[in-house]
Amino acid sequence: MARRRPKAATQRALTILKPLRDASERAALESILRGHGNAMQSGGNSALRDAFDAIEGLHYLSWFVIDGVESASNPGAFEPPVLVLEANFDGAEKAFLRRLAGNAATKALLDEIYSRCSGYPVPGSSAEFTAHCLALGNSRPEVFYVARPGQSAAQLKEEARLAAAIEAAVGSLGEPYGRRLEHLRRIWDRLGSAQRRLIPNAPMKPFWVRHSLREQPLKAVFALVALLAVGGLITLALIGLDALGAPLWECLVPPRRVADAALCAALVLAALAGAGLVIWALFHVIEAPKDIRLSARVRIWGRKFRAIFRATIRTLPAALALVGVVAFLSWQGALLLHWASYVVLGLLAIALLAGLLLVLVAMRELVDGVDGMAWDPAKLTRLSAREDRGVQNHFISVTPVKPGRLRQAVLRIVLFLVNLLARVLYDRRGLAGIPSIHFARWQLLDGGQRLLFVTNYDGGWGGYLGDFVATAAFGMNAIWGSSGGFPRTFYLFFDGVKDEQRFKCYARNSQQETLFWYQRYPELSLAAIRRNAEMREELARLSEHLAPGAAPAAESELDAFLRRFAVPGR
Amino acid sequence: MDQLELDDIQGLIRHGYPYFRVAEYLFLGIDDDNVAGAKAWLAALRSEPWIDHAGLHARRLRKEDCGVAIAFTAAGLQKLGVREKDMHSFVIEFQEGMAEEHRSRILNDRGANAPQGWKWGYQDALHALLIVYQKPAQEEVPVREIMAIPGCPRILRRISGVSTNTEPFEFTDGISQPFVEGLTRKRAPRGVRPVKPGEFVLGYLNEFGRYPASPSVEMDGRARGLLPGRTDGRADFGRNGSFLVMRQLEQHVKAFKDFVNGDEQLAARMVGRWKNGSPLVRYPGEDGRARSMAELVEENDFGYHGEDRHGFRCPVGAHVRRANPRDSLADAAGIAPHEARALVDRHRILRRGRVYREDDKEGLLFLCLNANIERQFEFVQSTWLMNPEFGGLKDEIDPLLGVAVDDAPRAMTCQHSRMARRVDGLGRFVTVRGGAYFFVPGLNAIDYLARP
Repeated sequence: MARRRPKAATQRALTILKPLRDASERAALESILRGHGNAMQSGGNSALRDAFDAIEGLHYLSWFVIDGVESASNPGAFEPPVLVLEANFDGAEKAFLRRLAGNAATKALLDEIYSRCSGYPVPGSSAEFTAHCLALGNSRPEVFYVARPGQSAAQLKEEARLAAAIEAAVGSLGEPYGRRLEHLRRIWDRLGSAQRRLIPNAPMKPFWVRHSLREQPLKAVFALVALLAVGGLITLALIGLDALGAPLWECLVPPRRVADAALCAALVLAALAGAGLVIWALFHVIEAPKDIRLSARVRIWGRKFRAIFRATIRTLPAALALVGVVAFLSWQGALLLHWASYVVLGLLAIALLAGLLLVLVAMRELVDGVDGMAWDPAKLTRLSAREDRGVQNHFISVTPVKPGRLRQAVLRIVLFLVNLLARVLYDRRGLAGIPSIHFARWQLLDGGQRLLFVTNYDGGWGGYLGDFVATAAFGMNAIWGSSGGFPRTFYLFFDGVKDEQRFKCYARNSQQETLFWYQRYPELSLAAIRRNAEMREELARLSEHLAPGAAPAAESELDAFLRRFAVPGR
Repeated sequence: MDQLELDDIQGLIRHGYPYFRVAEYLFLGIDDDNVAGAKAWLAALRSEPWIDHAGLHARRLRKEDCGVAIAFTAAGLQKLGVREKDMHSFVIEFQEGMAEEHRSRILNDRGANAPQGWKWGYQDALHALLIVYQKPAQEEVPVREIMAIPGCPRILRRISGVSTNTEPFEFTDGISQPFVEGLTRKRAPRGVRPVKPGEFVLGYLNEFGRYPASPSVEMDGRARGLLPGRTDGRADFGRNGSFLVMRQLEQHVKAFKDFVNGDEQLAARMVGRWKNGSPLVRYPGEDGRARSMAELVEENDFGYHGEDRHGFRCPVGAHVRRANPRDSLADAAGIAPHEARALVDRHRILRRGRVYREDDKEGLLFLCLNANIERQFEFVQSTWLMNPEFGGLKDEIDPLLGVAVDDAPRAMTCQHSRMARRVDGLGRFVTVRGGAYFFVPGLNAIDYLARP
């Protein structure tokens, strides 16, 4: 039976803004942060690294300084620059800040840095009070994307260790000899008992990941098929009964009006589609591996049928509820039409409003200024000094939001929708098909005057922004199209970033220098993280076949697992 | 589609000049007191005219004595009077140059390949590259004539390259070339998707349907009448130009032969093709039959996704599969094979390399043309060739070009239907000896540079 697995951790982001006491302190503060950052990155200050490593649940943390905005009370003058602390971590914000302020080494760093900022207690204050003061400067991002939701920093590290152990175990045995299952048993026996316990015991993924359409398309298809099929069949039965003129059902039979006929037709079609899907699924899903004995194949079929049956049973209450609703609505067909007309009108109104907003935006787009293409080597040398040192990179950009209520409204709507999509349509391949983003966030600053983008990603900057152009142009345009000087968009979603070099030049010019950057797992790319997790999952699944009396594993499944590993040879 | 202004585009972009067996690469430095002289020399090169344009047909060129092309580094353009402010309109990678520290990290030029050890291209006074293609019988004539023109810049270095289909490791080279729309009147070979001219020549639409970033200068007396105007009132200096990437890749033939030790299969797996050029995907076993270049190009319509999805025939990390993954990345990116191919076509380069021999060391003078160095040459180098996680691999870079930081032996994985084979002990087979980014201006832009 399934064990009770540990619960998944929730990843959160915080962005703490603290203005500097005085603009003249900026250079000094920057050089302090840069010094600490460089020392930690190059291994010169391992004590600080160890201190951050000891903070539970921390994934990434960075500090950078951005310009102050123009003063509202005194036009022409500028507010002091703002120090930004940005972090990605597991668990609650307050608890994280308490851990950050509770560690002696990081507390000393906080005191040193924030002594130049306002809104921070005198150095030496209690951890609790320091955390409280820091939390006051925190604000939530408008869009927050997590590549591996539910996977805590500790789990990432653990899975890397497990993968190494599995690799060592497989590697020490070399080429498979004898029966595959015996080989698997040998691999399993090579692993330590702690690892054998850990491998099948991965934390549960969060609910919305487990039930994501992208993650488990088949499950969703089954549920849909079951619903449609049952609902449709019952409606068919009702229509049949009606044709027979059974008096008992008279009260349930819909009156023969056009609307009801349409409704019935739709349900019949749905039922047919459902039946078609079931047949399709039978053909595609129940395909058992071909390289095993017939008896084993029958057993596998049996298991799959049972799984489908169970899935159907589980969705039955929902199906019955739907049938109830359908029956009621087909009885009260006129009422349904009445409701439907309101829904349709509402949708139309929303579409019209969106269209109007788009037209208004498109009119502004024609006259909005676009930055020229000019690269500044001096600035870039500074920016790229810490870039491409390892697998991961950090990118911060701050762009001005175009003035006017229209832009504000459109940007906020877009950010809301993107955030929804980034979470609900959680995709194994990453944000909008970009597989190399660990964390990303967009956040409005100064009441929407500026837009902040912070991300931790793998690989080179050029390739990363190139992915934005190639696969995520729509979303990027919708978000950054509201920024001043951005390459000209067309009806919000089109063109824009497609002017790839202008976009990259704009992104470089809006980039802020990362002064201090902490990474918990600098050596792990997302590709490696995914591979490690997959290795664990596969071995956990295969190891179930090792239990006495378990069904034999399919040879092909085992081979696919073994193909991941290499043995020395030519 | 825009008609290419072939008579303003340098001939190098259209032709590889294979019928001129010898290519003399002259690395030029313009002395401070010779700027006016160099301009006069440039003007003479244009008025003769020495420098070819792409409008000439190969049949006609073949009858000529020689072909000449010229390209400039950022420092060279500045030396010839492009203002610093105007230099900022050049893409950053060209301004910084190949030997810049951050670019070295991107290109993986570290350890033995680090620019500090280069023979040229690192902190030297390299300003221009003059390539003279000629027939062996002519010996020195064209070069001597060009050098005799008054004002000729100082020659810092000189390398001669030979036109051959076989590189020093004895593999057939130069089979896959992008087919550029509108550059020739020929039709694209079977199975080859034509690539938009804006991927290689500035001033035309690229694969994104946009114009590549083109450097501009102030529209003053010097530019007026020569360079076309732009909508922002500046003069388009980059039109009909291209960026040239040059790297001197020394090949350690003995080290390679010793490592392979007669195992032709292993050598072929490292490259992805047999020595005769036939692709491993189509020919898992060697047939030893010699093939003509035309035959190889005809056979070049293969893909990886459909024919060798898991790399059992041609390893995923093989040199040609990294350098041009075709549809190989479809699975990794979760897209259809034809989409993967279109994606890869945004990172093509036009290769113009030649084999060289310099004090008993042989190798490849790698030259390639592209309109966007960052998205084309640098992307291929960093995201494919030198990416330790390319295509789901782990901790291995290109088997031929790769170099470990401390020259430690490297490994390469050959996928197999049971368990993959890890070939250990790969040494350093290629060392970068020099490199630079050049701009190949259009002919009118050369005239602009020649103007005082």
